Amino acid sequence: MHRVARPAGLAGAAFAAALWSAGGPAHAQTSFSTYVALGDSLTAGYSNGSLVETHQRSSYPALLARQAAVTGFEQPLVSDPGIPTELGLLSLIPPVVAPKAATQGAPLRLTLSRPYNNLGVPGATVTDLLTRVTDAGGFHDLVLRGGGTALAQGLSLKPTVLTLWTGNNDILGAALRGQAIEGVTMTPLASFRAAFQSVVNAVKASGAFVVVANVPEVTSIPYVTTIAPVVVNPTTGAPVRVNGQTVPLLGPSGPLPASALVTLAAAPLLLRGQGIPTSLGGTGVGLPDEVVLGPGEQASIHARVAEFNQAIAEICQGAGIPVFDVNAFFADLAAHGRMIGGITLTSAFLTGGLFGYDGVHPSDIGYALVANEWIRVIDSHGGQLPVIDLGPYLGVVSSAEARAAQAGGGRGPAPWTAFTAEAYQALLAAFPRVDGR
Amino acid sequence: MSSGSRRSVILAFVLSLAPASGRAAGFALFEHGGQGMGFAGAFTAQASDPSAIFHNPAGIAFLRRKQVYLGGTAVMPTWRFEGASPFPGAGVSEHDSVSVLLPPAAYYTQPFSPRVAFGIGVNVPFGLKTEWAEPDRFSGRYISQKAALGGFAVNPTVAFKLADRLAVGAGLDVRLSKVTLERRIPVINPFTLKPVDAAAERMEAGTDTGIGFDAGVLAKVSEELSIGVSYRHRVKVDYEGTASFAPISTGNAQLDARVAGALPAGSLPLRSSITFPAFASGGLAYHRGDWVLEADVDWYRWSAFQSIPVTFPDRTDLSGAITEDYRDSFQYRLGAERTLNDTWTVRGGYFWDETPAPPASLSPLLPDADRNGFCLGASWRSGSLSVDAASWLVLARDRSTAGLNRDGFEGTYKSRAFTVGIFIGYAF
Repeated sequence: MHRVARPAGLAGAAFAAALWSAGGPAHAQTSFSTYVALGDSLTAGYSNGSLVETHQRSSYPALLARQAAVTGFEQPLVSDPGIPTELGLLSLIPPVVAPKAATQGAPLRLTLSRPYNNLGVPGATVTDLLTRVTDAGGFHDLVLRGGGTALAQGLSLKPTVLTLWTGNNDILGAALRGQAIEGVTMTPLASFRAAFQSVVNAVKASGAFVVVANVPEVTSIPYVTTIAPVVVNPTTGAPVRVNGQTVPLLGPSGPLPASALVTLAAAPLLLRGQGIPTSLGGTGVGLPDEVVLGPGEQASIHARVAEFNQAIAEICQGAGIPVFDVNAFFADLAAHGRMIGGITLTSAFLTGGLFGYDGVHPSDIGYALVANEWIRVIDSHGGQLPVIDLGPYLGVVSSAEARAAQAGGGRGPAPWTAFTAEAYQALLAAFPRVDGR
Repeated sequence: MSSGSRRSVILAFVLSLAPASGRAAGFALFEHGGQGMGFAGAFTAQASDPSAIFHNPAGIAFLRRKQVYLGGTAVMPTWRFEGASPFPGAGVSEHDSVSVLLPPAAYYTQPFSPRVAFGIGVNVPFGLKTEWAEPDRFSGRYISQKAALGGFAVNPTVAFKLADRLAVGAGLDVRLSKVTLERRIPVINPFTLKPVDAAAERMEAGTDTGIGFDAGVLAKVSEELSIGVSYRHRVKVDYEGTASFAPISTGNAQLDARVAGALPAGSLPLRSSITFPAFASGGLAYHRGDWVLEADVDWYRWSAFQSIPVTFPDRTDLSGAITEDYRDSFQYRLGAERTLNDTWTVRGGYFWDETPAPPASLSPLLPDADRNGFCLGASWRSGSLSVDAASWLVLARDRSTAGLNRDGFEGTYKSRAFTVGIFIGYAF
């Protein structure tokens, strides 16, 4: 965790530069001639619990590159059904979110003889960006291919424009695991600050035009906002009332307070009656701490996100780098949704449209909105990227066309598992704890 | 679903306020008589035929004999919409489906004594019909497919001559109004995470009644110069009607079941109100030889149109209000007439009509713009019979939402309209 990051990162950069010196021609006069995106799953275009070509093509870096008319923007594309297998909604009544196939996809661009332009590595922390070169067959290996750290590979391309959106995995694990533990699911502020400073120093020194995004509040994602901390009627979804009062779910230490957040990982447990009082047909056994964010944990996460973003703001201000306040953007989406052509998009799970089936990552339209916010920031600092048309992402087509498109989608019978244990395990595997590095 | 349907119901109702091209900015109409139309609507200081009941009620004090004045106007608007990013996007082009509005007008006036006159008029001071082509795939169909505001005003009027050259008049303004609107309701299809049409919504309200008044002064300062001022009070119409929601199959039985469970069954009673703005007009007319010139300034108090309550007594969770934020606006009208002989008179004029709608309110619901009107007219007279005809070419300035539209439907609205009015007058 506390390895000294910079020397390793620079050595990696030199190594990668030597290895791929033939690649990445840079024409400084065209600002987007060589565009590199550094980050994590949100940069990779991870969606529905998967890295898969069909959604990678809507990653915000891919959209920015398209708007800038960049040619040769390379991503570590993975064939359908993705790695891990993309989650799908198998049934609405009852709702079942589970892997949509029994197989996995395969990397399509492994033989590219230079680094990818999109070096977003799902699960990567800020420190990973600086130091990690392999992860035993995980996403780092898929994206980095043994060619050095993501930072080193990115800089070796001699980018003219570089976007950086990192730090999400320095806090996301606290939400995914329902536990806010310093140094285990949350990166300590001092190490975050030091690592972020090192990354910013390196990208600043590259001479590229750099824009940085900060860290969204992870307690507003559907993964933690979907399940209310009260007993609901599984058929109607409405809260069960006893003597006019809602009934709190049972947590690790008794009934949950109204402010508790229950994660999607609780869904399979609730189906088995866990967390539900015996008087209402449950087992009377409390939900484990791993699927509950209590008020104290929420406060810790909230404070840490604020600290990270303060650090990002200070470091970027010091370096003269513009910051995209994506935290504010997602907060606005969570609070107000977005009205587009009479369609209200919200952060609601399944029905909101902005997030995919893992409850953590945006849908294609969600990523397109994020990309348009990047464009707003880039253009306010001298860029000239056209705004992305959202029509294709919203699929505003006639109902007859929508029906025709729907006809192909298969749905198998499945028990009511809502967010399945499989879906949860896939998420945990893709997003390791920060102490597991 | 609940937030989506709330929005949808509210949005649908806003349709009732959508202006269509060819009318005054906002959704006021100004096609109330053939002579007045020939002067580009600048008629407040003349008010020399029974359409004075609309233009300036004092005018009927100067009308001799019993008179009837009947006619109507064919308003033929065309709309185009060019999309802009981010939605619906550049390259999206929409147009209206051909529709004609036919606001009629009928007036009767009768002197009671040398100083007192009575009259009654029926006309259409506000109205609209906005219908987009290919409604099943119109990119703004979740906002508006079709809207119509119909109805008329019954305007009994009395005028008094205070002096040979000075009259005042006043009337009661009884408005009967009816609204219909249609749109689609989208839901996010959870299987695709994209919107899909889930229901066809139709709202219908009316015919409901509101009452206001109007008043005017007409002073013939000299043989050559006359001055007119008139005022028409705002009229608030309270509507009661119903909203119905017809499910549209999404192709997925489970989603259809969810949609059917969420939609109000049958007809949902609704209540709302529209405040039609007050307006005032002042004009100067100058007569010299065969010529008459008139210049008017009209002022609409559209700032009264700030929001619309929409109440569903049976579903208060869906109730709400819509902010529109209109501003007061002016119209400038200039017209000229030349009498050619005992039989024929010709007219021409121009008006400039300011839009009251701020850019955020500019949408398929309320596509409003500043307008230039170019007007021609003619009258034919024989004894007690007269025929007045006039035609307007109304060119709206292209108006862009400038990325500010409340519904997130961005682009440029382009419109023009052609109107032809024919009115027949008879004195007996």
